[in-house]
Amino acid sequence: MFAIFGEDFVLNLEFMQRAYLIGILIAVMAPAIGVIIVLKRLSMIGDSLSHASLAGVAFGLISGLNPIIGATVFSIAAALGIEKIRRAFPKYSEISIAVILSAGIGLAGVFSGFVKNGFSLTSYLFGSIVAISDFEFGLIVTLGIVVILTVILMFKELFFITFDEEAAQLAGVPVKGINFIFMVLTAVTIAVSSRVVGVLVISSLLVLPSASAIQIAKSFKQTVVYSVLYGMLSIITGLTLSFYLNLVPGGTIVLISVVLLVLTLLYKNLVKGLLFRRVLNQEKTRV
Amino acid sequence: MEKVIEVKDLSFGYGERLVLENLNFSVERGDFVGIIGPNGSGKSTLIKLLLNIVKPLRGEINILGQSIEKFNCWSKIGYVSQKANSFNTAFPATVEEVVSANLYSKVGLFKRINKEHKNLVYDALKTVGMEDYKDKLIGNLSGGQQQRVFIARVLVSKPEIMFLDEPTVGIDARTEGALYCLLGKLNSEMGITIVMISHDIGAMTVHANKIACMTNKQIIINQNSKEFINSSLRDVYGYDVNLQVPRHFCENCCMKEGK
Repeated sequence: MFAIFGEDFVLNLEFMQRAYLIGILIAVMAPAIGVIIVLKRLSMIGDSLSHASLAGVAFGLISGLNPIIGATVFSIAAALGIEKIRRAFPKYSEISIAVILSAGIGLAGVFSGFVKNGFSLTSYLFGSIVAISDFEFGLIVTLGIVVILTVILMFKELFFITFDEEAAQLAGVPVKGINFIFMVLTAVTIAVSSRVVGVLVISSLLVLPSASAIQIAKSFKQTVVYSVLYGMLSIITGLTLSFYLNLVPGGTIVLISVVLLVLTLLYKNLVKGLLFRRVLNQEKTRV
Repeated sequence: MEKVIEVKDLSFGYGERLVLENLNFSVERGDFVGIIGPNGSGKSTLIKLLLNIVKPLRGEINILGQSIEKFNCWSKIGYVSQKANSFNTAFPATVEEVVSANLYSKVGLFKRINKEHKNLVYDALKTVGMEDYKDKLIGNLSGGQQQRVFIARVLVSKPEIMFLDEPTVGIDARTEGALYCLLGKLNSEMGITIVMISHDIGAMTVHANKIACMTNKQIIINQNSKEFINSSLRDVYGYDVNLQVPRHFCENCCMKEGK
């Protein structure tokens, strides 16, 4: 496709083409879900579900089930568990996240003792570009498209519930059903992203692009669009750098997200400073 | 007059603690009812019961002539909660996005809002005088402006009854006056029945046509009159209350001052 750049060019390699396609899907899915998670003040939920999905990966590797399917099943079960436990501790909702996170780590630890090929499990911790099979590629693309379409279709309801759950319920929005679907979408996003980005860093990809977008967005819609753009920039740059510099993709992607957040904060402070100076000058001229 | 809210033998409790016991009262169309009473007297609980957020232990609630269990026209009921004063001000939502939200159930799942809906949003914002702020972030507005936006969010679905739970908390006297002026306009000009909880008894005596006093798990509701207020306040609060009748100032509007 890009013959003039030579055979070694990153986009001429089939596994990198797949990695970029999956990366772009994750860049849309994770930040779109992440904005809602951050605004609901549930940023730690990503860590909790990713640890549960690691247990699912380990279970898959032991039992012969595809690790991504294992991760998806465990992650969905963990997400529903969080909702159940949250109802038992209505005034300490963060307890539910801590309980599932502990259970996920515990299970992953126990299962990892039975995994024969330690390298397979490690590749899920920080992500891997090369190890995606045809079946996994098809699975990730299908689940990714389902998640993105569902978020687009329920966008306005998700906004209302995130902003004011009680008012949404009174206005007739099916809050319970949408919250349930959203938890499942979050779980699926984390599970399918774990192959490329890694379970230890996927929660950062949920939170960091959203944190950057919130700094500069002027509406909810803009926040979602900006966080997707931040996500894309992080993933595409991260994958490219990890290929040429032989770095672990997950870690590289997250470090780029952190750099983007720092740059956004610096830019925001700079703009604020300039505006403040302009107002001061105007005041001086008036006096 | 048509009874828009009818409550018969209503009781409610948290666990074993009974908060409301055998309440009987009704609200007529066009009423402006001010609910007063000390903390813990069950004012917010009563509103939650009338909104079907919590279920009663026993008794009957009829809204717009229908039993609350069968009632399904919730778009005709508006609610401005205490939470409106304590929402996440860093939430990146515009005024237009916040007000549009109340139309979402009408628009339906998987559908987008159209021009007609946008016009409804504009009209609601115009009614509360916030149409020029539609693209501003809600968190960047003052407390009084935010409260107007939350009222617009309720108005957009054209309610017949509006419940407000202490909407004037945390806003200054001038803004409070303007807010009461707006509520008066919605009540008298648009015919919206208003049921409002407030600790500002003085303001209630000025603006409401009926006062509901809540105490000892009971409610006493009566026409707003000096005699009723004076006789009820000692029962409700257990001591003489020195009533301060506010002199509200509101630009572009004539305000009722001290009946």
